[in-house]
Amino acid sequence: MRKVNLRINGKDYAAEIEPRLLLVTFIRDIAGLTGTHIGCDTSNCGACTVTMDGKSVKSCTVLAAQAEGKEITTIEGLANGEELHPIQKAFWEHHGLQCGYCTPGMIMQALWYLKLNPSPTEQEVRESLSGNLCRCTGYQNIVDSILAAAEYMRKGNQTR
Amino acid sequence: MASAQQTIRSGAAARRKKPKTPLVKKPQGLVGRPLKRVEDHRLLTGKGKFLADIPLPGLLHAAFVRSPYARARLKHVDSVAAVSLHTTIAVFTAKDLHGIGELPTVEEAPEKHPTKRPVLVQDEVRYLGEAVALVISTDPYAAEDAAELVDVDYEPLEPVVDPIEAMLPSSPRVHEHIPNNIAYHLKKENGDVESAFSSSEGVLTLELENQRVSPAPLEPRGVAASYDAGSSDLTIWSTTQDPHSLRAILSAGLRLPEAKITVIAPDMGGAFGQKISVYPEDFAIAFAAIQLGRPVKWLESRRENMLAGTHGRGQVQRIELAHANDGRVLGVKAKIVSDGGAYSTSGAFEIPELTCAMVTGVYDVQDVRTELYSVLTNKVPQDAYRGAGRPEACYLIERAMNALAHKLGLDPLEVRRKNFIPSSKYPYRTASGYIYDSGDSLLALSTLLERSQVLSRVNELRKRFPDRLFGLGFSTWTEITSFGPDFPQTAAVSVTKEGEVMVTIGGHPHGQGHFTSMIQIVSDELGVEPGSISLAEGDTRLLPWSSLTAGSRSAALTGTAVLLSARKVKSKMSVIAAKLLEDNPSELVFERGQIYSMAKPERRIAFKEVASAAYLPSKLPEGLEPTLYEYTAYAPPNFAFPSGAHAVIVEIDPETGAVRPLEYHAVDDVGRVINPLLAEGQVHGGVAQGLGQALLEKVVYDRSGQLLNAGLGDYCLPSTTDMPRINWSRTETVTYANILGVKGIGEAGTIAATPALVNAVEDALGAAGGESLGMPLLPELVWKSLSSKSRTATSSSSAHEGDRASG
Repeated sequence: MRKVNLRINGKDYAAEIEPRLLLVTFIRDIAGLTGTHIGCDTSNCGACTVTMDGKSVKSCTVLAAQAEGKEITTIEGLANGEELHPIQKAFWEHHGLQCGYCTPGMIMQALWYLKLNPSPTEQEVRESLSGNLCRCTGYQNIVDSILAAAEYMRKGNQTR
Repeated sequence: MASAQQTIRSGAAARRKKPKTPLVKKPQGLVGRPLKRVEDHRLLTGKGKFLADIPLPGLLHAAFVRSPYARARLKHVDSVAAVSLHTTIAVFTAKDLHGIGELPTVEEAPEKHPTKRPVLVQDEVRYLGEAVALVISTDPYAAEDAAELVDVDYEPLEPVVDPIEAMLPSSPRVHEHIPNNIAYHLKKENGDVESAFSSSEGVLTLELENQRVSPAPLEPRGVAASYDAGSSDLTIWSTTQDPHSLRAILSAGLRLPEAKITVIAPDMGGAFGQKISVYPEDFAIAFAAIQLGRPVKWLESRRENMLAGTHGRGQVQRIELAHANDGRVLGVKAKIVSDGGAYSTSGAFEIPELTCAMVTGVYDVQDVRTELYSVLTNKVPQDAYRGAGRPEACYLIERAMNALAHKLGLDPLEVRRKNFIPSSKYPYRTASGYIYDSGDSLLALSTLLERSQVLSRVNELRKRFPDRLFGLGFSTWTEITSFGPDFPQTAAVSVTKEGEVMVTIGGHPHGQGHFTSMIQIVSDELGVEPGSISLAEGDTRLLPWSSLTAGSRSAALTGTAVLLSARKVKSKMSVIAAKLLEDNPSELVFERGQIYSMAKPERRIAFKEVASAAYLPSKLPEGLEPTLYEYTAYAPPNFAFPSGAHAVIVEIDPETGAVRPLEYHAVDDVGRVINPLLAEGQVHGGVAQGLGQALLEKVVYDRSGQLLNAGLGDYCLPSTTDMPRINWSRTETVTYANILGVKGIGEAGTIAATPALVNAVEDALGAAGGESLGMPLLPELVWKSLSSKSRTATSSSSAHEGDRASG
């Protein structure tokens, strides 16, 4: 066992953990933030995507111990109270989700990517999401949501 | 192609002028409008409650020990090492499962052989990944550790993997009492097939494989159970599309009254048919919770889902078309061998039966013979996967139509047009006895060609880039939805004293957006804002019974049950309002939270006020029962048959054989649409799954029954970069199958996309002198076909006759 301190969505969590504990298990079971989902265990599906120091990672492929001292953001850390983040809002407006299981990972991946590339083309958005699988939507509305979110964020208009 | 030129001209003209009559009706109220989903907020903010997210006090964690062999004699299970871990609470094997029954398979009938299916393997393993033991631990990681420590002694036996080989008398039997592994044999004939064939000018024969695929919902399966020993109440949380059936089957298996069992289906991360059947894990986890007196949860890993979650499709198909030389089809013979897997599950029988029944698609042919063999193999059982039997039928007939056109040197669209059921013939009785009440394939196809301009677009591409390989493929599809009458859907609508409307529905939505679509129906009926309507579902305590969410049936059945319940509420409220307004109940209008009569619109009463009155017997008209709660169980008299036309343009890279779909167009007739935003979303996702089967997906078993691609690294789901944009629009013919006039949308894309894509690739390969191929059309297969053809450089004029899919 080993003691670690993780900072998730601006809040500190201390726990005694086994060295093998995955970051996703820490986020879900210790921090109780169940918005981060597990879909494949092999870092193919991206449902567990979070950001670590601003960069997207698949939290099923990071040990909790490796995240010590890093700033983790999960889907729960995005909205400002009742006010949705522009990416969340765009997903709602463009029907970018059906069952909602891949959605947190998609949004977290988009959060990172739009920081890197605030004015992406459709093809760039598609490539940025190639590590995130969705079985419901055929991706078209997810891609459209992210393109719309990019526009909202460029305009800096987070309320409409 | 002469027809291509004609279509370009007519298409360009059509773009300029508006059609005389609209192809789709304009919405009156909220139904028909793209209302944004009311269920999204919590899913967007990480507040969904999927099975893994449900907290239970004192929770224990389960892991299953699964067979590494496809067929083996189970000799001994040693759990001493597993039990020795301080985290292990219990290890259960088949011997420990006292008093619990087997999983149901089909009922005995002529030509139908049931099998016994134990919860945990008793003496013989019949598929890779079959559960042998159940380990319960205090921690999920420790449960996995303990499962690895369970020492199982197997005697491997020779499995039977290929369904065709399975039918040989020399093959091993999956179940000793079923000779040749044929669990079900069904032969049906309509008309005079032999004379249709003997009088025809030719016969086209096509053999195809519709490969087994995994539904692969993004959330794997899971079960949790909690038992209250005092009240003997058992609560099950399960990823199920069919909570009430699970309750009934658990009741029989666990020998507990249904009244003591609650099944809750929480938020679910997709299902696509894989979460219909009752699984061994449902029984085992319930049993463990009862035995241990503590809540137990099992969450399936992706590898387990690939091994032990049901697969879909899995058919070896042969079709013969007796035809005239002008392309008219005169008779059909189809033979289906279905790879049912290890047990006689109802899915393994009923799904390929649907293939046989729908094999003539949208074509007018009455002399039809179908023959089905449901064959058992040492694989996980087959069950539904989006479309369940109809994609296989559509694939077979739509490939055959192209092959016939190729054989006769005709345009595949011309062959289709010659054989379409003419719109004047609706309602049309098919050879299999179904009544297609409405449809118009010619209209769907011409609308598709006009709107998409695919014929001119592919010609332009070929002209501009003569060195590149482009293909254009079509499918004109139909399917059967609204299954009934023996699968009623239920709904209740109530109105509280404060005027809040509460809707409860049966089944269990998992991405379809029922919260939104059902609220739209109720909002229109009761004239209240969508914001004042709430919806509950997925809990067997809410309604006495309901059947499953599957088969593109929720809008038609659940929607109708909701509408009828709302109408009953409205009728009762009208009587109350009429008394308060001193008016005639039949004259009253419900609008914007107000109730008034058309004759005296200035005299109004608030919806809320009438609701309150319903709770005060003193204010009610004599004989009227207080409160507002109305329930409806709806079983439709006939099925519905949506249809449409899809087209896709692909490009093949001759260097690598990679297939890239460039653009996808669809025109569907799904009847009335409740919410076009949701309907289009269903088409997008359906097309992605159809494309997945055509280009990427197949569960690959080797001869020893090992699954070679049991993870998402090797089993390729379509990703963002595999998908083209999809352009969807509609035509609408009226159905009277239900009062909402809806036909069902959930499976359309999956059914239509697979043959359209393969036809497109064949078109591209045909242009390069290629040959017919099996699915999935992986680059290697396409490249080999291209390179072998360029070596031999022979004519492919008769290549389609007698095609064999190589799979």
